[in-house]
Amino acid sequence: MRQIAIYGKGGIGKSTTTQNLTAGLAELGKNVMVVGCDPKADSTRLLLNGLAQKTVLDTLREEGEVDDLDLIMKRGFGGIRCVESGGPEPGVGCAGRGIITSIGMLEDLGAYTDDLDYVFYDVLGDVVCGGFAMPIREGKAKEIYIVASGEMMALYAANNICKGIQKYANQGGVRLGGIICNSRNVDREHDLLNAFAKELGSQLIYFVPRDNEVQRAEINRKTVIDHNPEHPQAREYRHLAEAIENNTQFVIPKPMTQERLEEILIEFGLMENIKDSYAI
Amino acid sequence: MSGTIEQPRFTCALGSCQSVVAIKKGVPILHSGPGCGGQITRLIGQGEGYAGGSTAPCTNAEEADVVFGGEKKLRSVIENSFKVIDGDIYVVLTGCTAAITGDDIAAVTGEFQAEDKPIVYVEEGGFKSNNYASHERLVNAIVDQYVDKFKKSDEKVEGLVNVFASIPYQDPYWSGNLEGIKKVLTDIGLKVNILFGNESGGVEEWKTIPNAQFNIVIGPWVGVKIAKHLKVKYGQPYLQFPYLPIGAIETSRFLRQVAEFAHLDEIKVENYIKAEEAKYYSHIEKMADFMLEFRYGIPRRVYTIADSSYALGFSKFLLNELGIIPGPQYIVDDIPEKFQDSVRAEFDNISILQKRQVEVVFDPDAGKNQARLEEDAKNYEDKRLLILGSSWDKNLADKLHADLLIISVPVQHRLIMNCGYTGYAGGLRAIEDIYDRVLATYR
Amino acid sequence: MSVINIEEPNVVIREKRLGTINAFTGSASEIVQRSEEGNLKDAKRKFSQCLGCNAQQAFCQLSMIKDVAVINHAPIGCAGEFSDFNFTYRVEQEKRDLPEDIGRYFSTNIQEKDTVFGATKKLEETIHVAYERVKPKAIFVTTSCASGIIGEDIESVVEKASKELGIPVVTCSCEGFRSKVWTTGFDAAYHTVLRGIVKPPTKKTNKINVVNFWGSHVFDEIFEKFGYEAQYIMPFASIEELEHCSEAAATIHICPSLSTYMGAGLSQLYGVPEITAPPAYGIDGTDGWLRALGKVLGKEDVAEQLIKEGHEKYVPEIDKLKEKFKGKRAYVTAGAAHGQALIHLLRELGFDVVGASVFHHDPIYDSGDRNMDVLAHAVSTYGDVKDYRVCNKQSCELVNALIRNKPDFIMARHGGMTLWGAKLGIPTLLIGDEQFGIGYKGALNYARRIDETLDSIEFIKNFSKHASNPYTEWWLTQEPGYFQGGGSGGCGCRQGA
Repeated sequence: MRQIAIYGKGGIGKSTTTQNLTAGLAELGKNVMVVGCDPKADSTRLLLNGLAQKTVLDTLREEGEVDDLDLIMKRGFGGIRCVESGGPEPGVGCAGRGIITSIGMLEDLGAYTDDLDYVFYDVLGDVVCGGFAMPIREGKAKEIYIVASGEMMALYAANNICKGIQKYANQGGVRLGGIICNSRNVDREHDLLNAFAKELGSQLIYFVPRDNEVQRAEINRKTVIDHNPEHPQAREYRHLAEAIENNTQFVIPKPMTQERLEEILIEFGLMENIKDSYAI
Repeated sequence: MSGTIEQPRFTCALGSCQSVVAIKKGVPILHSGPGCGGQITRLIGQGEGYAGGSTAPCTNAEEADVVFGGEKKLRSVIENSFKVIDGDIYVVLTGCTAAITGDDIAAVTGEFQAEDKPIVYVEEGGFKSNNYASHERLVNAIVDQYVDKFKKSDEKVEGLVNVFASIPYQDPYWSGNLEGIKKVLTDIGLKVNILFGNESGGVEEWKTIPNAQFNIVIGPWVGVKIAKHLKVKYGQPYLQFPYLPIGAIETSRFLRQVAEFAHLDEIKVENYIKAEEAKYYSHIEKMADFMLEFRYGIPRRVYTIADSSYALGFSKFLLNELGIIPGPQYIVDDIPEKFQDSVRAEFDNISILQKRQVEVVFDPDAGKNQARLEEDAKNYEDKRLLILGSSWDKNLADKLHADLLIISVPVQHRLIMNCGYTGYAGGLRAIEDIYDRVLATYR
Repeated sequence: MSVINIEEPNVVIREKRLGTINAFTGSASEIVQRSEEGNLKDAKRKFSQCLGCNAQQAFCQLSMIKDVAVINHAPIGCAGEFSDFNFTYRVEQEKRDLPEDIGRYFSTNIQEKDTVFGATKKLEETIHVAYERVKPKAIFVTTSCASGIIGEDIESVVEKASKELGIPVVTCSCEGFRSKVWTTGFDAAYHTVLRGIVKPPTKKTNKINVVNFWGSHVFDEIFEKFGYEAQYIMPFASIEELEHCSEAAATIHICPSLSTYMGAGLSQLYGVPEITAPPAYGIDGTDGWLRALGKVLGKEDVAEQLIKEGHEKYVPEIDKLKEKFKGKRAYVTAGAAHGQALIHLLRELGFDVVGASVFHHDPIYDSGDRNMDVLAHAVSTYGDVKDYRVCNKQSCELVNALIRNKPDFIMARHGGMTLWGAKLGIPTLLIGDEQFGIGYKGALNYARRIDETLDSIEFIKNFSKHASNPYTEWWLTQEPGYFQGGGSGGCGCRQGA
């Protein structure tokens, strides 16, 4: 069983990318479980064709305890098992603790069965406290992929996340598998992401081009492979799935300084002058 | 679980640190705020024990640890605990601070486990449950991380049994109760791993847990998770006796069930029971006149504000051996819903002779229970009442002119050393204690 | 001097306000000097044992105010001490001829899902439950680590409840991790009462505030002689009495470490003068205190009369007992100001105080008045204490210090520490009643009890033969301050004075 955690800046397209790529894996005949680790509970909407999913934490809140896996796990596209941790509304409680609690419950309920080939954790953008690192603790995800784009803020966030990963990588078995680019059609994006990934000691494992078909599928509450299987974008996601499936490069990331990041941006990105860059 | 609680009768999940203190030379290491150790021992401590109370190592979380994480501090405290305190087993437990901020204690403790140090971790967080539930998690963690690693062999030893009965310190009479249970089981020919307290062999005994032929759980719910875990791990069957066996009837019943389960020599066991019962009832006979003739009033109705094991154990004993009728039973241990029906069923079978209705209320809010009790007692002003409760109930007992036997924490009106209520001797002790209090009210 | 600001909901913690520290190895004169110079630094510990948290101290002061309900917004574990305080409450009620009642304390019982989703609704419910059951004149809400970390907005809840119920519902911010110094809890409790209960004065009364725990009423007689009445706050005071404590003629401290905030608060906000002389421990301590009291009340002659009478009545008997104590070595382990007062008293009785382990050190009190420095007073009167340690409980450090100093007698004041004296076979005395040692009679009380303790040593000597020792051989040969790093603690080696 490969356990994989997906991190990246908020709004960069982690959930979209994860769901589309797992659809590809399911097509390859793999048994997949997707665990949403975000209080917004929107990590499995496209696989389940809607937000009907009852979250683990909501169930805990209402029932008092969760003793039936079926209450919180639903099958989606391609038989993918979908679980949403859920969490509090903004400004209240502690979402990080929520993730710790919900993953603990999944373990207790025996959700991690031997027949699973993949478990994906789709984690909230800002890894602000220990709870959001729960998926990469010992015994869970061994691989991490960070979703980024050519925008400065996305790379800054990705680099920051690597600092957290480095800590867990140094004391346990988790490794960075690569950067996934969710393109924003920024100039020279491919080169930039390549250089960025290399600087971290990792790789740009796949470059997903931007295409409106993704949005069309989303509005229809589907993944691209589900909505329009012959479309070129569907092929991209299939290739991404294969890239993940065949990946052998796992490293302890080497986060860079702010200065170095800016140098790379200037060298490979569209910035002639740092002052203008903040318009992005 | 529920809402507001007035008059707590248990503590939080971190309270299982006291179970560690009950293991000979066990050292709890608290990764928690500064007050936790103190709060727990004030309710369920009996002195410090070997290295409990204020002696227990603690990371004493500060604001900086909450914001930036406390793993570094924990590492330092663990490392130095080995140097400063001479223990046989060290158990790291987390309080609320580390649990909410997400410190990875598995990783930190793992570093020391990799060096084969005798250390175990349990991820708690005070808010996770009460200490009844966390006791089970603690035992399972020690089994998985220590016993399994250091056990000498997997061979089963005939006649060896693991017993999971009282929760140390949460049961104020744990020491005496465990001694009492070990005694009667040993008398019928078993070798007993009692695991906690003076009668246990410390960690060397824990290492023989996998060798037991079977396990015994005493109580309606705490211990079942442990027995089930051991069944999966070591293939050991288990017998559950749903409450503390107090007095002759229940102790004999208990021993017969164990004998049958373990295929012991029936005749030998029956002879033992006969001999004990003869001694026991000779004492009862001595005081029968007193019970029937004492002019001035002895208790005729009993209320309980206690946990399910005590409530069941004592009600059966008081009814069948002393003729004291059980009034409403207020169960305060927050027993999970799935076990409540079996408790009710046991209360339905409370009498050895006839069908009786016993009202059972499950509510950890003891303050509310006291109000209910007071209301109910208004209907029985002609009867002398007995209350089985804790020091919180002293006020109420005085008000109702009732006798109070303290069987639950908090205990502030009794000094407890090795008093226990299990077994034949325990039953006699209970009778002495109850009537001691009754008679003390007379000039 | 600290500025007491009751607009802020949270009291400023002692470390920031007063510069209080938890770790120090050196001499008494050194710590006094550094306190005066304002360069006393704390040290971190690489190994520590359980402390106490400020929530406990806050609760101790709030829990015995008459006609209130206290709500602990916390998981059930933080309510562990409720029953202990209830016991004290009931015992002391009897002593004061008050009607029997139990303390009404409620826990909101925060559980896992509450930490995830927030628990303010639960708090609202509990406030209403408490109100229904108790019909109190005020409700106090204390906080916890759990409620603090998840960032509960308790202020909005209590404000709303106050309006709905028409009684003060006031928060007391005392999360365990908030302060390293557990006495911040006292400050928090006083801050709560100053914020939410005490009213501006409309007149001046002849009452004198005695900010205390629940000790015996030794001040009644003394104040009567001055024509004043003692008002003991906050345990066993009613809400009404607290509302009017701003009208008192003065405030005295039985232990400035306890009441520094309250004294300064009443003084700054409502002009109630504080008696800033060291508390009345020992003969000359009592002399000084009576004179200070006389001055504030404008009755110096009464003070002189009391001093004369006190000396005549008590000094001869004390002197007799002093003979027995000559040359004996004593060690003190206690809270800050009280411990320092005990050092002073013991030396007056003729003991050679070889060392002390004191739980924390306040370099200055909120009044800013250096007169209140009890230790400075002790040092200037009787000379230095060479081995003066600040260690917040940490029995491992205490045991080592005792082994090194080999005292003949240990004076303790704070539960849990006497055990170590007994394990080492050293006669140890702990007096619970804080007011037991006040005044001339107090000095005699202590002398008598110490005499008895030194006499009855059979139990201790026998016990120490059989007592268990959890500390390793290695530890017992280390310097007590081994684990203190940085600041004034050093790494176990003594800093040059």
